Amino acid sequence: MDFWSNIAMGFSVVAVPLNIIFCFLGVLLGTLIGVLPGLGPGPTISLLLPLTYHLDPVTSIIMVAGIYYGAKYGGSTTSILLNIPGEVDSVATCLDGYQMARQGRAGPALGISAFGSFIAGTFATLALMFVAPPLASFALRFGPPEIFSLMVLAMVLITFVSSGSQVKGLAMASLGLFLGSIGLDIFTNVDRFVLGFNFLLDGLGIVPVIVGLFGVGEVISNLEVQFRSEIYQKRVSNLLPSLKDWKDSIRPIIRGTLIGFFVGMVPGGGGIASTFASYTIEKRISKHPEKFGKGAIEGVAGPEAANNACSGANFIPLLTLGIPTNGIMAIIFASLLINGLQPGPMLIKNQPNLFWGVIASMYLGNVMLVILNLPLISIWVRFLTIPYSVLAPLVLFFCLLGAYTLKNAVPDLIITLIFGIFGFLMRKFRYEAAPLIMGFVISELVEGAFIRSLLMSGGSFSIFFRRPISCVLMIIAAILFLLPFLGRKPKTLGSSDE
Amino acid sequence: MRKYDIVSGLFLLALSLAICAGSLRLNVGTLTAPSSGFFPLVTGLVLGIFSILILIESRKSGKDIVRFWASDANKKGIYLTFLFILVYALLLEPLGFIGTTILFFFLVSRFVSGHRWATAVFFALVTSFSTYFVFTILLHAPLPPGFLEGIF
Repeated sequence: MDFWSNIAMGFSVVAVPLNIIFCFLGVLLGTLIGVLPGLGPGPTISLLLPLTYHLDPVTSIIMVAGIYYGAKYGGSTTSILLNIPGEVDSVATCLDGYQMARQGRAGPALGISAFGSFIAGTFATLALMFVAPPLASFALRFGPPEIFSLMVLAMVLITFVSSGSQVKGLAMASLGLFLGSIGLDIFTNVDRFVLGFNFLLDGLGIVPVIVGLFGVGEVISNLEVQFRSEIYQKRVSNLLPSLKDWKDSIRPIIRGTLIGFFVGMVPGGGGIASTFASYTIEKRISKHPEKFGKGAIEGVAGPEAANNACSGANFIPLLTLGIPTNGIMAIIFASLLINGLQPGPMLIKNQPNLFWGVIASMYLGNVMLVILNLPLISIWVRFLTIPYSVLAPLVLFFCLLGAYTLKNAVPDLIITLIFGIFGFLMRKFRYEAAPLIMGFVISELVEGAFIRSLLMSGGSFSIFFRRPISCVLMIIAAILFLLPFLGRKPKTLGSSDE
Repeated sequence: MRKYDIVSGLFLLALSLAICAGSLRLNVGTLTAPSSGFFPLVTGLVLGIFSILILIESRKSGKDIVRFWASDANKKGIYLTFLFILVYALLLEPLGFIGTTILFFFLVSRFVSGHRWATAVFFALVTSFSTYFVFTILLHAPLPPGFLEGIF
């Protein structure tokens, strides 16, 4: 099937009324949770996972993807009007967006943010269409050693660009790999670490672990300190940027789009890394760097474009190589698994309707988001006044409901509680949840690739270095692992998972 | 931060030793024929190495005193939330979905979020009945029955 037929198939998939409805629901929910500080896409997608059991896999992934990129749009509203990033990736937007709001220019800030996001989101979707299929075809050549080395590299990368300690991140990834191995061994059918609890024979459930770490952990952390801030401009008008605003913003949007796209393709390349890279570059090349931080529209346009291009690009490693690039992608990875789909090079070949349908839905979703975010902005501003004390019980309840309804098993609620406490302690002790989740969801794949490689080589680890692709991947992983010890880790980067 | 890194490093080291011990009780096999304990053993060893590195890294951590709780932290709310989740898990099947959800929502709204009694009761009733309706009637997902579910 050629390229254009695939696209036509994608649009025919998304043209089904149910898919349009769930695409709309996804971007609507995404915008809502993006607007609401303290409620990120991670917990939202994880607590909506039970709903996806009852939907067609394509429909559920269309909705889940909509939540992810919708949250990026919505996050900017809170940054501009409240000086609190609705999402961590929108931190850079606070710097100039809030200052613009203070100067009575919240309208153009929100407007350029929405248009910039639309341009970047559409570009990323287009590029995803061209880059993903050849990359997946290339990855089909991978045998167990290459897959294992790729997973090692992905884990090193996600911890390398994280904001915290790389060693702590790798410790969490190892713990995630171990947690993923609990239950019946896939090779020998022997139970491992079930400690006499029969419900552990199927392993720790993905949903209770993710809901506990992201959902319950986040609510508890937010309960500790309440948000208090002042909203500038409750009534927003003049959303359409002027000609001068466009002239000032178009180049930052283009540069931000390219930066976001390339950063997003790298495992661990979170939105926050791309937004700050874009902001720094715009400030550095500007003729008026002194205006940055005081309401420069370029400081809003570039990072917002980067953030949205990044969210589109994040799907490339997931759909082509089966690598979740951050915590939220790990949750989407889990939702694919729950729906009986294995993310990886075979996904495009075996499930073309899913791949092309999701891509087509992204075009539609981006158009919906511009409509949702501009004319309806006054409604979103009202949501900012909902106190967290109202949201917290709701989020907690949906976390528990999500964990329970997967198997209708009470032990899953206990697992959720345990991982909720663990997630809260991880935040306190400055450990990131993303590497743990990543290790957990890819554990079976890593173990399979590792054991098969050893069987292929007669027990020799040299197989990972004898095969060229595997060797290159391992060398890159080793360099990235050693760089922080040599004091070369970039300090400004951070992952966008939490 | 140093204290926290030492505490967490030691915890992870102990955990890695437990994982290794547990793996050795399974059949580890050999490099040419790995068995069920092999992969957990490797993850335990790798975790052990990284926990030692965390302990070494902690020597470089600043001696600044970082308080575990924020200055005006809602500690009572956090402890109660954990307790209410446990209560929800223990009562869900004996009491049924609607009854337990009303109780859970009421407790969290009243004692964690600090809403008034009437508001907490209103939230609890609306949320539990509407969720029950969506899950059982629209999604056909079974939820644990109790005496209140008998009404429908």
